[in-house]
Amino acid sequence: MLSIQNFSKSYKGDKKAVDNLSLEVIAGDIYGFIGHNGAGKTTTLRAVVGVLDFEEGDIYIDGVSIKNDPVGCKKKIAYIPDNPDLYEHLTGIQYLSFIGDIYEVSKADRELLTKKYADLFEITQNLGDNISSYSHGMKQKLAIIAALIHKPRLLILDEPFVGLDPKAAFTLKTIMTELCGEGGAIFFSTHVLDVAEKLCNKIAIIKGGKLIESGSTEVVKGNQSLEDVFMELIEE
Amino acid sequence: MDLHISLGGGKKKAKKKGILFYLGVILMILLLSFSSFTYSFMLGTSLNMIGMAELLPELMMAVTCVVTLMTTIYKVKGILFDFKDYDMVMSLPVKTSHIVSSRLLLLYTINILFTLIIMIPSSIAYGIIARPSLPYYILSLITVVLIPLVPMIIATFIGTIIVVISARFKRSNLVNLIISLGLLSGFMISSFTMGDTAEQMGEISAALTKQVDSIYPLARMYKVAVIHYDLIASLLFIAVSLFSFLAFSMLVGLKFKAINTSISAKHTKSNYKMGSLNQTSPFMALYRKELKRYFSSTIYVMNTGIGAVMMVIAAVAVLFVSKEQLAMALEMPGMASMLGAIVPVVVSLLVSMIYITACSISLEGKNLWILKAAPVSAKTIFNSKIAVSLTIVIPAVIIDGILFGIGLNLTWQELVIQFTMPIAYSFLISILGLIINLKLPNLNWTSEITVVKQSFSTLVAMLGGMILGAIPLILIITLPGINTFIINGLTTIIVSLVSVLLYHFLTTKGEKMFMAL
Repeated sequence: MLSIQNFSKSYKGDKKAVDNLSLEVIAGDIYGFIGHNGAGKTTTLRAVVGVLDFEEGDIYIDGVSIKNDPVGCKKKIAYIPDNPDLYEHLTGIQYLSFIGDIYEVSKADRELLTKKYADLFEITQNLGDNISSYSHGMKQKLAIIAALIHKPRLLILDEPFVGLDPKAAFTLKTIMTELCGEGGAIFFSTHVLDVAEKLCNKIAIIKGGKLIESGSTEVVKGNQSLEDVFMELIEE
Repeated sequence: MDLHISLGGGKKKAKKKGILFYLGVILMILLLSFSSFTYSFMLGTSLNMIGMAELLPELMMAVTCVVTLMTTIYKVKGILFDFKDYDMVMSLPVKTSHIVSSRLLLLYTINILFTLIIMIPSSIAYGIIARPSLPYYILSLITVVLIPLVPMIIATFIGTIIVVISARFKRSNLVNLIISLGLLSGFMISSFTMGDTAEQMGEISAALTKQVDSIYPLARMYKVAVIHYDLIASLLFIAVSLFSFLAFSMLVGLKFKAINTSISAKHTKSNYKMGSLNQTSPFMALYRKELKRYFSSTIYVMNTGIGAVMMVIAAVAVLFVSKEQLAMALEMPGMASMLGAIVPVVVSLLVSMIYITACSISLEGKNLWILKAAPVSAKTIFNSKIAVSLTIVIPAVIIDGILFGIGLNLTWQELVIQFTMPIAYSFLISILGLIINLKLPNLNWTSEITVVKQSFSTLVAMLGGMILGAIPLILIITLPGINTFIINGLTTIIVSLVSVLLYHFLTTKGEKMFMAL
């Protein structure tokens, strides 16, 4: 579903933020992407969703290069950045309608899915308020709902659990598992290694822009905890 | 002026753009200074003929104060209150009064630049006309830095009241915008109704000064201090200005946190119930979002939409005056017969300075990821931004066309130009503005004013718009032998063709530039 091939990115001629990274995410995968701050996780995720321009390597969504057909690829993806900067001048429901229109979600689907996810994240009653009045966690919930109402096949999440209350975090994990059970895929970055260990069937570890380990969670961690493996790998 | 700008590209490129930016600022300052000098010299000469040249400094000081007053009111929200890094600044171990002073000083810095640009050339003009002795220059230099203080404080006071009132409403930004626009329009209408013809310039100015004296006693104090070298008046002017500033800083300091808290307390009903959700096209969704963005920012509307408001007010005013009176008011007596050709050019010039799109990419700021991750082409995004600009400008052009058509009894040829020429310019400036902003974006702003008023992009768009808009005017003046209909018609065709070419550039190269942001 997602194929990253020899992807490299450097900013303004400086050192490479990501260096020759390749990995495959297939349908049904919950793929965790871990690494220390500044390792290149966000750069990779932003390139995957077509937010970041890049020259080296290529990224394919269902076999189609995001460089050749960005609009077609983006229709299959939903992205939630590490900081949910949303349109503060809109109300929650106006933002969801905006996203519904952009992704051409039918009236029936948007009404059904907006209600379903807004109820699940317990934010329905706040949808009429301006986003500027929302807390960080509420904005994160709204960004997640906006990502889900257009039924993406591939979900790209950057630190999705930051700011969520425990119940919302649990809800998100359940939704992630359901989405992958229905043939979708998720590629997400996290610093919460416990979550990655329990939730992901595959793990990739990035250090200094280079992929140093990737594969099935069981193989990557072996008999150790993911935290031990991670600490060993980044200190090498 | 807060000139923090983010410039894309490498360090060398950024340095080059930085130099160009400062050159642009210098050019703008020189243009304004030249205008101030020319106007002051003309006015001073008229006043000198009736032996009242000494009114000039007072009159120019009053003009500076009025402009400072009107342009500071809407800046209160965003600079003094409700500024982006309020939480961060207030958490620092610094006294609240110091924070208030720093915010007021920022307002002062913006205003003093304008005051100096107007007052220094005007003082030189007075010096040439009246030949005063040395104390005039010394006192002028000392007092000039104090001129914006009191009007700035009055404006801040009014602005604070507007902010506090509008904070009580759910749509506080809209209420703030309506009050600010109403105040400015009211001021412009009253200045139009005062009348000011070239022949009566001296008498009108004298009468105006009397009015100014009664409304704003500090203006009289300024005149007595600077013209009559009165030490007591000088000291009083300095004391009143400084004391007002200090007293106001302390007063605001006492209520600063309370006012900011009441502004930041958002209206939340938290009683939404799911209902029917309508579906629309991606373009319409983007257009609506963009239009809401536009009207959610007082600074954005007041700096870009005011041209459209001015156009309509001017057109309404024309209904009540004759062609001859209008020609006199425009200081072009004898040109009444040419008004049909001149008016569309003037309207086009005003349209060229409405730079709504020149900051619309920058204003996406941290929200840009939403558009870049969305499955819509950059072309659709550009079209939505252009459409918003045209939504503001074209209705004003149409109202203008109808009112000028009636008011000036335009011929059908003049009427065609009256509509087509400003519309062609509307497209040109909307497309050009976007291209300029794509070339010179600033996405890392913390205050909208940095993007709307003080960015390289809007500076280039404004200067470029002025130059492009002035071309037909220059042609009409310099080529009196050529039929004005031909000049205006050709300009309209060329502007339309250039717009088509620029749109092609926008939808090809512009897409790549957008993706590279």
